[in-house]
Amino acid sequence: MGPRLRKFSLVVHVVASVGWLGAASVFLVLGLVGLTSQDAAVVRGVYLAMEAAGWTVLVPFALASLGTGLVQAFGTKWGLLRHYWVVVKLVLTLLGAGVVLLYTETLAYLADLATRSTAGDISGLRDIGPVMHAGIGMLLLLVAVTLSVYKPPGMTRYGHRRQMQREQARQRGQGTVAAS
Amino acid sequence: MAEPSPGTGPAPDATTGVPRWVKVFVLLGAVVVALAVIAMLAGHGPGDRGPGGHLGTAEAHPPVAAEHHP
Repeated sequence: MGPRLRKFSLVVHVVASVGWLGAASVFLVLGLVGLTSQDAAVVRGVYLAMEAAGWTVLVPFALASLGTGLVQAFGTKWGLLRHYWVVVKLVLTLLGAGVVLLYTETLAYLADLATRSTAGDISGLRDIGPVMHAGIGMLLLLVAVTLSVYKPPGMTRYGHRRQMQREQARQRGQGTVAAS
Repeated sequence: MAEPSPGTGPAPDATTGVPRWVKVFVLLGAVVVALAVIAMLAGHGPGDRGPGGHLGTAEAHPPVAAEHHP
């Protein structure tokens, strides 16, 4: 991947990832409001809003972050499975995106409950699930960002093999040049 | 997800074996997963509401407010 395309894909990846983190933080706040507000209309509104935002914001950003991350991995020398920090980030992103997709069912269920609940009767509606999911999701994303910046050392066996193959190819090339 | 340092690619990595930070990470992750599984089995997990939460079953759970208050 050329430098311009690489930078562009990096921009898209950062925007998607930051968007995902932002969406998770909003869900955290909405979840807290749903748990603590004494206003029945607000509590119902929170769960209705979360269902809408889940499909329109959270899922697209999660999938975009995963997809652009794969593009970055395959399009640069870091690769997808050569360095442990990339592998760990991949696992975290897959886990996060998977949970987001599965949790949309629960969000739909909560929104349905909110629609059906009668005025004032919200005792059965409050759910700590969105708060916990959003909180854990934010933690995963913050770890992923930290890994991206610090890039802690450690190459996988596959990475070492590829590195050795590159070194051997380079030495063969230098030997050919020297011989000529 | 994987971007090189500006203007440079990954430096040759001389470390062999699994780094300590990865082992710590995996251990912490295992602990978190174990706690989550225990919580779900005990009926207090975050995914317990709605259509099976993470399990993806179609059966809806009735709302029980007391279960989900911290």
